[in-house]
Amino acid sequence: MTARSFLKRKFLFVILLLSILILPLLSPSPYLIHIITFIFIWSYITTVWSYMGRFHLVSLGHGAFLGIGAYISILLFNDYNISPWIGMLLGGMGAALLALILGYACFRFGVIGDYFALVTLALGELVALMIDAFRNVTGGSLGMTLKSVGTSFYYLQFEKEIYYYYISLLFLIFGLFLWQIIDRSRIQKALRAIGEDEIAAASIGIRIVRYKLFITLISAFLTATGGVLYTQYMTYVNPETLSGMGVSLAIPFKAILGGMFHVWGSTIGTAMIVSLEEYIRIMYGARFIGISQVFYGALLVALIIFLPKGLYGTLSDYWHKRNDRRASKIEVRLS
Amino acid sequence: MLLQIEGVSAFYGKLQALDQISITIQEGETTIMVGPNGAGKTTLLRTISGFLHPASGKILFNGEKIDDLDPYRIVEIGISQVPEGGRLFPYLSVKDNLRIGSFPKQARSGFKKSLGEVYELFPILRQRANQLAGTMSGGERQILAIARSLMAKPILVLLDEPSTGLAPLMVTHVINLANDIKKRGYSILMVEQNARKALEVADRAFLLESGRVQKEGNRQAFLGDNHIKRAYLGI
Amino acid sequence: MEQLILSATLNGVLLGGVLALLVFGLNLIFGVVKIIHLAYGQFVMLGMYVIFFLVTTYKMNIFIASIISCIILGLLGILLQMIVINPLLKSPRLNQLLALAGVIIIFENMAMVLWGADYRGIKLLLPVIHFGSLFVRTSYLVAFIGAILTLLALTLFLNRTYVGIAIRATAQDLDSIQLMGINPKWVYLITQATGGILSGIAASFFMPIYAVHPHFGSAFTLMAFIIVILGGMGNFLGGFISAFIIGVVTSISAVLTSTEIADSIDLIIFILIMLVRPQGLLGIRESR
Repeated sequence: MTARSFLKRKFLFVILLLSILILPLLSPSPYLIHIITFIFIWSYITTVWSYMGRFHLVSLGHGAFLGIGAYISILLFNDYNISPWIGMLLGGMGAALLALILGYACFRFGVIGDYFALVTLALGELVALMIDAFRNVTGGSLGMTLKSVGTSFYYLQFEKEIYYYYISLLFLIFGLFLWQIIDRSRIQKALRAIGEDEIAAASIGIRIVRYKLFITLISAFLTATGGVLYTQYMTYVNPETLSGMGVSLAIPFKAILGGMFHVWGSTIGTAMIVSLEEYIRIMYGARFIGISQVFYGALLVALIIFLPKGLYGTLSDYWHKRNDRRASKIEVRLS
Repeated sequence: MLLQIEGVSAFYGKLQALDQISITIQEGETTIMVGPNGAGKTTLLRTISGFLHPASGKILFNGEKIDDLDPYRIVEIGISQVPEGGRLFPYLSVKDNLRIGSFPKQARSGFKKSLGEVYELFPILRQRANQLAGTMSGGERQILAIARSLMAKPILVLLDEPSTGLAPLMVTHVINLANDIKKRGYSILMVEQNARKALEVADRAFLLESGRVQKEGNRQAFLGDNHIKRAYLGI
Repeated sequence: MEQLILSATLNGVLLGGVLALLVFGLNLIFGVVKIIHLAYGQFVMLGMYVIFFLVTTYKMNIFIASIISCIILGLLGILLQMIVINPLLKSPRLNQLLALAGVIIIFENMAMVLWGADYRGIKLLLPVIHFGSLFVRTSYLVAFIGAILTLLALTLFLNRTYVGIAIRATAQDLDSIQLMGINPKWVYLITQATGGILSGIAASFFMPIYAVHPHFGSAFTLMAFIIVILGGMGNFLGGFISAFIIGVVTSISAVLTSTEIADSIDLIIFILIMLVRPQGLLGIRESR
């Protein structure tokens, strides 16, 4: 990449960031703010999922962590007035504990690949079922509503959307930042080696279980905080939206279709899919119940087939090919 | 000219494995390919069988272009391969392995007849007809693998290092099988590390080094060449 | 009380028969095509809807409706392989799984659009058979016998026919199969057709027992996968045994507590096994 194009990209990036920061202050429609906040929250959750996903630790059960975080937090708050920030901590720890137990068992016994994915799938469903089973406490499939305390930073509740907008943005930035840190660390190298050839990695002394557990715990913990964030924003939670197969499968969708291996991939994918969902819902949702979802599902399948590297990955490939062609043209001219 | 390989280059990603290979295989002959590890011998066989497609050049079988066909089509046309180690189906019996071998259209109706011929050539297989292929010894497995490739009624048989992992007595036996097979009318292209024994059954031979053909000729030419004698025949 | 538990055990064993059938289809597809068919439960669901539709709208005999359902599902399996799975054969596993997850969304919502969200069932009043003081439902008994017969037929198919042997060989060594002049894609299609037909057979046994609704598939998919994992992915004998274990456990729990707690117990057992022996009771067959 030449110095010029590098600066160009940085410039565009800053412009984008500034526009995002200023947007709510220009008073556009509340609907737009809502959608973007939604995208921020889910981008955060998806990015945190991709901490594991990019190293071939594919979890199809992250709904379990979302659910644990959300329900621990909301129960502590509704019943004991405990701040959701603490709820994030405790919920995160709960999720991490679950991840520790299951992760340790799986990694020690070499449960990997789609076998691992299936186990996580069952885990997600289990949490959903448990939430439903203890409906005296959790409200079951009817869900729970957040007790209202007006606007309070301490209780992470606001009457105005704009606060959620910026807080969610902060979370997302944190998630992306952490992605970069992990990417540049020794952990990344170790996990990549493990991802490519576990046996070889073990033979050169990489402590497989330790590294896998590490990234899994981080992902679980942060996912739980994402669940809390979502709950605080929507002021309502039920097992359907925050645990179980549906949401657990939706997260990797967003990551893959954006481009799981790039820092921006999850965000792009989330933006793409949420916009798509809203568009289809508005256009077709009214007519027959379910028809919009049929289109949505078909579109997802088509995107997976035709954009295997995700949007970011495909564009990035195209970009590099263009640069290669340009470079070789320059070479020809020079020689 | 049975098989013509003209100017074939093949890559694994960016790594070049074959460089402008040109070889002709004649019908009814046993052609041996020798060369060091990593020279590209197995790669060439894989390319002929369709697992790898050449980046340039072409492969003609009886005059027809075959280098863009899928592997199963290559077998249907009449080129069978015995891969290194045999690659049998371990949980199928000897008989079932042979049965699978006669799947191509030209072979299916003649299964019983082919089975009889193969049992005649390799009597030990008849004894072990119901044994699981995975439980046989190395030599027996190699024989089964060769027999299985014959069940497809091929015209040309490719053999990839049939002596791998076998005891010396077995090695001689297996390589000499080439002659028995040739007598039945098959043409053979055999890749072998064990050049000395292989050349004894050769009509023609090629030396492959670093993806290029370094020498070709008949048996005499090879056995008389000093470089080859020192490097590959241990003389 | 004891009689209740004994009856539940018996019915559980019978149910296990049909579960074993479902699991066989899953293991077959996993072993040959090397893919986890996430949408298999939805196939069964669609099969049940087809039977329901034919029987109630066209007053068709349930046997004929079942046969038509099997044919449709066999074709659907072939379509699935051609349209969704073949293009993704060289893609990462995750992409394949997610594509199937997309198929789940399509199937469930199609069912919602065509037949609504209500439970649909066929009223078949079948007698309850009494063995001494134990009772057994006819529908369960028929399902069991049918499932066992089908499994026997499948075993013969896989061991005695050309096609069956080709399918088994493909599961063992994909490259070698091509060296036999067999086009693996063709084997995949046959396997998917077989899997589809199996799901149709399961659907016809389920129809007298359960009412179908758009989320029926998910419940059964999960149970089917628990059984598959319990028995060891790709392990036919393990799957067979686990089907009966889970069938019995579910049946007894449902009688002692409630259906939801029974489902939770299944999952808890599953998690416990995962902690102690994640490779399943009989271990995993290596695929990739």
